[in-house]
Amino acid sequence: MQSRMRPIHRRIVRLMAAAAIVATALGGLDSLAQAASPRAAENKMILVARQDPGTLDFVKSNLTAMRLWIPANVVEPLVYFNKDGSVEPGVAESWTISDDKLTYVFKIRETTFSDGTPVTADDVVYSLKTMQGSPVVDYAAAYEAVKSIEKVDDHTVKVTLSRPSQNFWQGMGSISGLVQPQANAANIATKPIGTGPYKLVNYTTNSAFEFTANPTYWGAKPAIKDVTVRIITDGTAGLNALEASEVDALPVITIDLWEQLGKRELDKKYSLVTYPQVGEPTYAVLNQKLDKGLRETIARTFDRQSYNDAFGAAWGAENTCTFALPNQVWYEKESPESCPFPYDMEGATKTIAEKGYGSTPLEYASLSDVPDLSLPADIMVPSLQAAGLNVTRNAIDLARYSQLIFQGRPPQFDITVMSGDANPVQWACPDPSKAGWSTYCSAEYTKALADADVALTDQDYAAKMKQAADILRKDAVIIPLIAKKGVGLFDKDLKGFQEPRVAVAIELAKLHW
Amino acid sequence: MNNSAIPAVQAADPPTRRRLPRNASLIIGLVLTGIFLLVALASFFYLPSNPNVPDIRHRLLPAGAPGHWLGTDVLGRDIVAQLMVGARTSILVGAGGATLSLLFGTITGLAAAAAGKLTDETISRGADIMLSIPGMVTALVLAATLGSGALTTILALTAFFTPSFTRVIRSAAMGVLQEDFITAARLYGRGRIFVLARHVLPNIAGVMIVQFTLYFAAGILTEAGLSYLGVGVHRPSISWGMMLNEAQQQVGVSSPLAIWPGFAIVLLVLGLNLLGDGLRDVLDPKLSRRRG
Repeated sequence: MQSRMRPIHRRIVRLMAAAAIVATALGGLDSLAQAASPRAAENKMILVARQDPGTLDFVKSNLTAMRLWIPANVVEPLVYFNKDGSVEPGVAESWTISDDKLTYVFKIRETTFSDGTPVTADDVVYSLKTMQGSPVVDYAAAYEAVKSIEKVDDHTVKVTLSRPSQNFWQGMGSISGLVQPQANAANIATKPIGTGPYKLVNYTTNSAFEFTANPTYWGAKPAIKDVTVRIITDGTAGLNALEASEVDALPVITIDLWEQLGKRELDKKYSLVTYPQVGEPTYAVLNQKLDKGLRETIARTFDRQSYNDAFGAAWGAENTCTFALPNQVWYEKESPESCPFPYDMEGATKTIAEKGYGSTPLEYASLSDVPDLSLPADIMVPSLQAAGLNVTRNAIDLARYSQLIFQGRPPQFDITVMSGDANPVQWACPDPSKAGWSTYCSAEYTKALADADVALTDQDYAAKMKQAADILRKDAVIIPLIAKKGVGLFDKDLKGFQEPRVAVAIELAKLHW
Repeated sequence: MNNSAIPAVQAADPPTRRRLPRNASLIIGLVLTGIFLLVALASFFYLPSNPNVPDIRHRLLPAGAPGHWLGTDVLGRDIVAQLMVGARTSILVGAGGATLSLLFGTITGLAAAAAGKLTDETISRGADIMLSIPGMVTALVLAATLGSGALTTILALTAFFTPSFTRVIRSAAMGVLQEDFITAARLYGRGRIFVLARHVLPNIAGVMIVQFTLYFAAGILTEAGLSYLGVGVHRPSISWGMMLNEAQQQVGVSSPLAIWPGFAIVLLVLGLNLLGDGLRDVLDPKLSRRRG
């Protein structure tokens, strides 16, 4: 019996030894996976972008895909606004503001652009005047009160306003205040130049951006010399690349991937940062020409909690009836006070039956190829139908949606859902006959925004913006649903992430190994 | 007495007896295709739940959950109900595309075979040009211009498959047209249309049926591909390709969501291919004689 057991024991010992070797090897692999990025020793980093901007022309484009990388890194604004409200110098070394807030004098820093040419007052005047004529409403809006932009001397620029303007001053710390050399105007779409800590070495469409530290930068040199931003449109592929240590961070992760972060425990393996600046509100847009009572009833069928739950990541999104993000002072969470038309299916169904709204044919235009916008449609359309409305779903891809919705004048839909910039100024439009894709044109709302713009104090500005937000809410044309945070995932050894100061730009110079 | 008579009957039909065991593919193909046809038909009368109505509280339930055999998707919609409606769409689009292609391909193929050299050259070169354009590109262009949906997909499949049907039917018809009985029919005074309808079509019916089943399967695959790319059908319609597209977002969260529609596509396409293979064995005596 003993002689028969020995070989078995030997086999068990061998198996255990083999298992130990395999476990050690796997443990080694695991520790390798957790080791510092191979780029750390080379003083490099690779980040992931999910969208290709197509153009880097920051005067004409308001695409997040461009605004994430070019402002603050390559091209700087006149000033920087910090989270605490303090203002830091940018291209302007110093500035003075008259007591009546009608005259701004900027002293331009004695430095050079990344191509070695000196920054002059002429460049600043050119930059501001170019932005004043920008086709992007948000950018040009900063200059609505501007009367003149003049060169005082080689390093001084004076801007005179016709009335005080919060938008102007805020704009000088954002895209509207970016400074570029006039001589590079022809190359702005492919190789913009500025005074920023990095210069763009190469941009290959649908492939990557390559940056290197600007040797002539006026401030502290960036800790990481070479940065590559790789464009990986498939979000899951981007997360896989991070897990395989092929990249070091995904600074912006859209809501459709949030549930994966928890399920794959990526939020534990990597540094998860959340910040509102790159967040977006998701909102329904109703055709302004629909009866107001019908619009209000439609709003009552919107179950915000369902939209939030559908993404399985309530930690990153908040229900709201206010068109804003949590970092804007007039933002309010969903509450009975802040929601004039709360979710009430029973009441909505009754109103629809009583008022005969079911006889009005309604078209719901939904995006078929953008997951975080088709999902709300999957919830909304059955709810609207269940309430008794005669709704047809028109599912279209982004290309057709852009033609139908963004260029449609008058609006070619009755209901749709969008996600985008949280700037309330985009809805300003006094004349209802000019209603375009946004569909919202209200003289009352436009006046409220103008009143906020001339506010002399921050408190007054916040109060006026709150009034504007109230008007927007009660009109039931733009109906906010959820406010999504900006979410990013970074290698644990990659430190120094700072919340964006210039619009949504990720400041690469602050990151270090 | 009765028992002794059975071997005599079997012996009287040796080719059929020999072919039957080899037609396992026909039987399996028939069973698989039949099951999916039944499921698609049943979906008109019974569904476990509305496949478009969300139930967020029960989202992403695993297979075997009470009331949901195969679980639920990201919005809590029942997977079985979606697969049933998906079967309807896949079969409708696949069969629609294959039927229209068969119809147009038969007309053009017979015309090419029987209407003279100029017609033959025109139709054949036209088919060559059509075949040189990738079918998926044709489908994407149609979807972009007409808008996506089941009808557009059927039209795209028709444009994609008709040239292949034309070629096969032309070739088969030309073979039949050279037979002596065709010459005899012509000498007897029969017109061209009568000869094609009465003598050619019945003799190439086997080829047509086999070709139909194979392109039916190809149609289902193409429809799934188009819907997966977002240019096929959209909700409230449901297709297996669309389910795959939706499940792709959940691969890191709930992988089985992508398995079920994928499995359904594989089984139905396999069934149709086996059916086509089996039918070819049965309907083509030359092939069975060679194998026998």
